[in-house]
Amino acid sequence: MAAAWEAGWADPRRLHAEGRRARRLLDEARSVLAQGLGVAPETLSFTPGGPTALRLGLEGLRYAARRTGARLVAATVEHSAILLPGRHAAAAAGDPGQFGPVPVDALGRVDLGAWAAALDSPGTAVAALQSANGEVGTRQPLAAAHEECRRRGIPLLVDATAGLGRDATPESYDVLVGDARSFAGPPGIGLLVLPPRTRWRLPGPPTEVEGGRVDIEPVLPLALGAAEAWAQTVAARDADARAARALVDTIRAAAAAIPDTEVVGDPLDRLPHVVTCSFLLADGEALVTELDRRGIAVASGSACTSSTLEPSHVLAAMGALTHGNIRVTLPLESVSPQRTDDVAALVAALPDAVAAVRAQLQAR
Amino acid sequence: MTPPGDPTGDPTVDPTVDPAESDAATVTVDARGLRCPLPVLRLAQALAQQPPGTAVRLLATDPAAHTDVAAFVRMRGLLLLGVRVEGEHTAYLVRGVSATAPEAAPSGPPAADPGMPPAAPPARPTTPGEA
Repeated sequence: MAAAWEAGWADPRRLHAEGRRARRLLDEARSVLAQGLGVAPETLSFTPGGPTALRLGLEGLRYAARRTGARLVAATVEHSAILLPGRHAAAAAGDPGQFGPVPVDALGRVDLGAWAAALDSPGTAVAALQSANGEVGTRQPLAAAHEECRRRGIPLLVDATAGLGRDATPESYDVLVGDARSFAGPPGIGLLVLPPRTRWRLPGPPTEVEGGRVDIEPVLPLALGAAEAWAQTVAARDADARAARALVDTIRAAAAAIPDTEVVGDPLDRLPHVVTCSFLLADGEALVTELDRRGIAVASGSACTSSTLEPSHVLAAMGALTHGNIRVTLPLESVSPQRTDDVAALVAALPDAVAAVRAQLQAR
Repeated sequence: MTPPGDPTGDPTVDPTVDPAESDAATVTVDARGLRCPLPVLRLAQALAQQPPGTAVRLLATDPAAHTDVAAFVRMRGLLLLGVRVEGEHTAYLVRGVSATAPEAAPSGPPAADPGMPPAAPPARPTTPGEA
């Protein structure tokens, strides 16, 4: 990243030598990522982060389809950058029917029958589905879900922000969204892919930035960092994913050996590097703290660890236990060379940590 | 799809039982104002203290209880007899089946049950003054 800041300080819009060099670097970064995603460079725009790309992708699809209707169909486990605007727009219009949440099963996979039925509701303008969930790892049946959309002429936004670069790149979509963080790129770079066949337009006058799709210039060093991260990640993707998958399997097995534990999400059809489990009668916040004390950093979807004091909407939508929850997102081995040792430490510490936290709770 | 009268979507819920009806025969645990995992802990403690088969009525305001009571019941092989929103809080009626013998409860992860629909928020109409 230091090299990227050194090389990419100039403004790509300027005509002086430094500006022209910056423009060339931005074009190169775009072409590396576009080639990796299998799309034409002019269809790929940089946004200030993945959630912004989700919001813009959705907004443009919706505006372009405004004569069809305003209804959004989305799985209940989608990113809040999809669900919150969808719910808000329906509430603002005073028409709850404008938001069509589609339930998932206990593994977190969308019900295709319910998906098709939701698309059939009149006024459906746009649909959104993740390639895989970033909390529980479960992959969605994208090809089948997209086919249902195509048959009805409804555009599908695919959110690949959880696994892009780590898992196979989605091929079934009308809009594709990614986040450089999923492939160890810098924060603050989202990817928005709009194939020419897709009808997409933002309200208001067109901008002159990123093909008229964003109104904020990409930060060049971040774009360079994203392209470099992509190149490094894909070079080792298959081997890294195999190793990550095996490490996640050991974490799943270690958690499952602890009584009253729910290992959440599909055990096989999932992202290679994500695992979530919930321990009954344990406090999620205490568990994160207890593991942190032992030098192991994990996340949690439990309500007590969130700023809103609401549990993870993903776990709740799956009917999974939300308390006593921990989540591990394995970094790339090239980023964290001690990854295997860290997982071994977690697996070794987990039974004691859970027992300690459960004992603390019983005393309350 | 969740049938009407089965607000949790859990197949163990008997939609014909109203959480308020069996008041006389049950123990009530007031976990209002407590945050997760305390409502479920209080429920588990109450079940453990009662003879097998006793129904316990849990009152909770924590939004996480909606999901976690149903998950607890599923993981421990108990029965969720009914769920009802009663104004500010929600009442959950749970019958202990194996809770009085925790060592006999299923341990380890329950087999994934793809047939189980996700829990939906309780949707029964509220009867004022019944809390």
